Amino acid sequence: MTTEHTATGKPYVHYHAAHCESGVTSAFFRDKGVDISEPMVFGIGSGIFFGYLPFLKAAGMRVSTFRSQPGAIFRKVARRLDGDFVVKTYRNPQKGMDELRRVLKTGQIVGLKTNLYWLPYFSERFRFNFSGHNLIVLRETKEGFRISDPTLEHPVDCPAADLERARFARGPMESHGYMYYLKSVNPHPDLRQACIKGMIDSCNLMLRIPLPIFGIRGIRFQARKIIDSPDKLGFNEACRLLADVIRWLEDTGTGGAGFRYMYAAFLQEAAELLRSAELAGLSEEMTAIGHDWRKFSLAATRIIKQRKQFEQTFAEAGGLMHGCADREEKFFKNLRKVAGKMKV
Amino acid sequence: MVSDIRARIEEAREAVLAGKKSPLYYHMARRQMTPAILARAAGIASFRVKRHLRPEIFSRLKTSVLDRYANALAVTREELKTLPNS
Repeated sequence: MTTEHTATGKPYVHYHAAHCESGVTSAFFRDKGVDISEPMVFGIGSGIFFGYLPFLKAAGMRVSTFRSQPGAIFRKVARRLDGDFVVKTYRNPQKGMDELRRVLKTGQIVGLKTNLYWLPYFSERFRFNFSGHNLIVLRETKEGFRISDPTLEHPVDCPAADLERARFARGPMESHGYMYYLKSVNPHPDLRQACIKGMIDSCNLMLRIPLPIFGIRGIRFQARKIIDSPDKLGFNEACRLLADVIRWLEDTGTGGAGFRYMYAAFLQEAAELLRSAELAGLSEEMTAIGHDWRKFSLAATRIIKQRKQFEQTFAEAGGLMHGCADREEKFFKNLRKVAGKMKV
Repeated sequence: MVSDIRARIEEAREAVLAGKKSPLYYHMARRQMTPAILARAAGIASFRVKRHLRPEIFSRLKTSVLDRYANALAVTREELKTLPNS
């Protein structure tokens, strides 16, 4: 927690957050005087998701995402909490940077979607080619920009040229200088209604997308792939497939069980807010599902590390994933019922 | 994953030293790019980028093309033609 200020001298408090986009959105609302926590943002913005996108590769890894697409959380939260917001992309980098400078001068803080590789303040270890990292720009300085990155402990400086590269990096999931900010916000938003909307939306995303690669079907699809992989692809390639999933599940975002724990935290808060014992029960169920995902990644890492008796264990790992899918299906169906009843 | 990337860069360096690939190949790997990504970043068709990975073709490139690569990879034109030490 560090206090900073924007271009007009308005104080800004930097908080450390577990996940970049929910952290950024939460910081926006806090800046406007509405104090909502990070899990709450994650839940209202329907952050929880699953998608298996083998045709998309980020840093050489097939993407299987455990959250909704970058940018969605902010848009959904801002809309559901009755905020006035701006989202923009640019073709021309120069125009994008000019616009950023102009908005910053008005004392506004601005969120950006950037490519991790070109952000110089991360150590070499963390920098890989992934265009989906969110951060907040506070103000322009002599050397560049003052940046509050919610995944870091303190605000940092970033040269303008590097920031421009990070914003307009080419590759999979190009951000095209994606820039967003909150103009104004309702000081007393209807949190309850927003929570219910967020939950129902999440249920629909997980259960009702009629494509095999998203939601519960996506989990099953990938589980089947994993079970078949040693026969179809050979052991080494199968291990790579598994390693890709584990990286998305454990390394990116919050790190750990693909955001399932954060969603459990949201349900906990929502249960208190809506005074619902059912939601509290579902929150515990979500934590248990998180543990299941953990078990899956543990089993998978074992396969990758020790190279014996693999045929059996690939099936086991896939089975664990199927187990997660079954549990999540039941969970979201229950949540749909509970949330549907609460809808006023 | 970090070791993966390192290994890929090291492989690229060896391929360049062995004369199988052009230095462009090394710089591309160092920026964690593929020919397709580099093509978009430099604004050069990907079949040309792949061709430019061959040393004999790379050595004959015009400065204007080299500059586009140098800009996309955030290195100078001189650096682009050589391998850095270490």
